[in-house]
Amino acid sequence: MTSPDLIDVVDVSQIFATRDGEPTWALWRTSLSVRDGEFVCLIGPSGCGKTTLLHLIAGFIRPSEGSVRFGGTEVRKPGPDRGVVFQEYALFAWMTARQNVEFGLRMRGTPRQERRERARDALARMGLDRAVDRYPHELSGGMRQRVAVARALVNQPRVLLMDEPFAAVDAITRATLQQDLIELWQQTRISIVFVTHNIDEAVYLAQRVVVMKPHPGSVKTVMNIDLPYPRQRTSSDFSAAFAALGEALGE
Amino acid sequence: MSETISVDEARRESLEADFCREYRAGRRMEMASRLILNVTGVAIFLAIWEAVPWLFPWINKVMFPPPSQVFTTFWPMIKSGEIPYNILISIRRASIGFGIAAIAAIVAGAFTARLRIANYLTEPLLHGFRSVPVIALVPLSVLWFGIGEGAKIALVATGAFFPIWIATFIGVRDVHIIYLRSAACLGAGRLATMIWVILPAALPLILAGLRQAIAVSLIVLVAAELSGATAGVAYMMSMGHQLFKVDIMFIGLLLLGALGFLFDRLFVLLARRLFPWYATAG
Repeated sequence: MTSPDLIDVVDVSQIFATRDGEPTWALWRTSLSVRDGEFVCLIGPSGCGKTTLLHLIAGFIRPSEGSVRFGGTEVRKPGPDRGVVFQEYALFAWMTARQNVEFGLRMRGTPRQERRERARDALARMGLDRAVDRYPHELSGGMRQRVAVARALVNQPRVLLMDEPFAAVDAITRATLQQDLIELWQQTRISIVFVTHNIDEAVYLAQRVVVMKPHPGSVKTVMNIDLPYPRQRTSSDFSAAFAALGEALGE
Repeated sequence: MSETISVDEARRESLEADFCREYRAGRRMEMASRLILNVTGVAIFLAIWEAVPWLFPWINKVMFPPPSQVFTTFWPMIKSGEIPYNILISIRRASIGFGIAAIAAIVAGAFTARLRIANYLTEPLLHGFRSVPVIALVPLSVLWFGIGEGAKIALVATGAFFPIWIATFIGVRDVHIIYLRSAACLGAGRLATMIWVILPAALPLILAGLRQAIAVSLIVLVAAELSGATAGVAYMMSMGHQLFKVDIMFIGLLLLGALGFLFDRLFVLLARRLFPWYATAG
């Protein structure tokens, strides 16, 4: 008995015009399903449509053809049930960490007191108790991404859509962020769709890796990674998975 | 062992205390010397100005009055209330005109940058009118509206409108798409996105436009007051001109310089206060 699909992308194509007006397919007849509570990575070279696919699920764009369904209904626009974490510079620079996290609740008319408490809890969960009243420019890159995750999580979304969220932080911070993300995922059992171009990151995080290719953007192959969490980078199984994914990408 | 630690601790604390004391003293010295040098600079300027008629006896003191003479004219005019009255009139005109322009231009800028129809419809008109120096409208304004307050305020508002509008337009148009997407996936509607996200994101540019508009307001104000007014700093100067009182004209120049400087400082101070996240304000 498999759990029902939370996200269903069926035969989706996405066309757009390049700078000189040439039509280009960012995605061509691509399908993808994500189950409730699943951790999926999208990986591939630039131009493979992985970010386009994520944006379709988020509802930032509508597909030229095909359908994108979330929780059984067609995706028409963005909404707080699908939290998005961007690469960087997505935090509102004119709001403190707390105000950023409160934003979604404020938009839904949550009373002030409850807003405060939930924002504080969400920040505390990300280990940011002492950054509550700081502005983004006063925070390190890693802390900013933690605030961004808290801002999405506080709305209790059913899926977290992450677009290369750790690409702009240093390697040591990135390893800690990945570790904490796995812990968070195990505690909340939320679904995560995670775009990356980093093989190590995909093998460390995902239950299932969707390998994509460009010209036109489409799914090349899907790889399951059945290693227990937290994963050990030094284990031979990890190395084998790493090599297999590298091969799948390189073909 | 524990004794060494406590000794080290005491040593560290005393070093820190010394450092803080020296740091604060250094900051105070810096501030004090800055103030002293500021005042000295002004004093040197006044001294040279005062010395000019002595150094060059062929210079007519009526045409180029030294500061002492300007001050002897200045003081009675302050006491009689003539100067404060004219300053207040000028400030009133400038600030009402500027205020109207700021509101109208920010609204117009937001609309033209977000609504394609509004943009394409007004593009040629706004850019065309923007290219006309507002000073060129002064004679027409006098002809149409006479020398009443409304005409002068309208001239100032017209002049201040364009720099604010264009800055708001660019700021709102170029808001990063990630901000808009963040707002959308957090559940913000169109109006909420405009108020909480787009306008704050455009604020650095809007502030730059407002600051430029302050300077433009003063220029237009002077032009309007010179050509048809019964009060105001520039009117006072034109009276000085007709009465052949160069010292009154000098007073006007000094007042205009001081006003412009004060408004600009006040603006920077206010911006820093209101928008602490915008660290580079000023």
